[in-house]
Amino acid sequence: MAPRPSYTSSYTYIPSYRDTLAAASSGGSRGVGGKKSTFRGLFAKELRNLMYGFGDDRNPANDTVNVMEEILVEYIVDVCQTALAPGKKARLSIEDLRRALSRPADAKKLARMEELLFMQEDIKRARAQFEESDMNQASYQS
Amino acid sequence: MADDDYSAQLSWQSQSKDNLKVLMDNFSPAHHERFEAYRRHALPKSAVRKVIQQTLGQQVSQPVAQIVAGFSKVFVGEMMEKAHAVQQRRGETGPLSPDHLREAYRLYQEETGRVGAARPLRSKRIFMK
Repeated sequence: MAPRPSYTSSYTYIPSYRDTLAAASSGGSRGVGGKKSTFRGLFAKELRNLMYGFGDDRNPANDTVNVMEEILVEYIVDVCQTALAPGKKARLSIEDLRRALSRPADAKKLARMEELLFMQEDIKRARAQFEESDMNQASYQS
Repeated sequence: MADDDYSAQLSWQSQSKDNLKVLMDNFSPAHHERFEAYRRHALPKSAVRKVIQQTLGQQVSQPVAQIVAGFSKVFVGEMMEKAHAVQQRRGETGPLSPDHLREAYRLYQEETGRVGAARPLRSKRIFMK
């Protein structure tokens, strides 16, 4: 009798690299872990440069880049899953993310988020000002 | 965004800019190159969006994907720092190995408690640094 496939329950911690190895050898995907293996290479090019920027060798090891990508994907899914946790949500919102990043360990990440929101706001305000002066110009000419 | 928050961020940003200038004035050419790489590169928004949408079946707007990409870059930095610390503790040199990273990730999970599980197993620390 064929062994029953094991499905990961809602969230048990299995290092995702083991999942991708299993997925590769069994030829199929296994629950949450399996999905992550399909993102191979999406981030590799930029990650390579980022890793150098963050202190790694000018040429980071390929294996290391791959593991970094796996960890990154797992992290993104974790955070967004946590942000969406309290029930049926239509769309992931900034407020959800703010809550998910509210722990002391995430202070840097939260601060970066606020900084990015500020930059988005900055652009919005600059654009509004530009459009307003544009409209004023138009009315002078009419 | 409230005007208060906006102007608070504005003054913080200008202070940071001054500090950064002092730092960069003291960079070696190697420092410059590395810093350039850090500044110039980011996680591709489209890829981040794809990951969220395909794994969680959730619609995600472009600005939100951009935000997630932004703080996830900070996460990459935190991983790299930890991995480098692991490497140093073992007295090893050269490009980081997958093992350094996995150990770093394990330590990160332990210290912060799994984001997904939300709760650390028990509070290990009496004094927080």
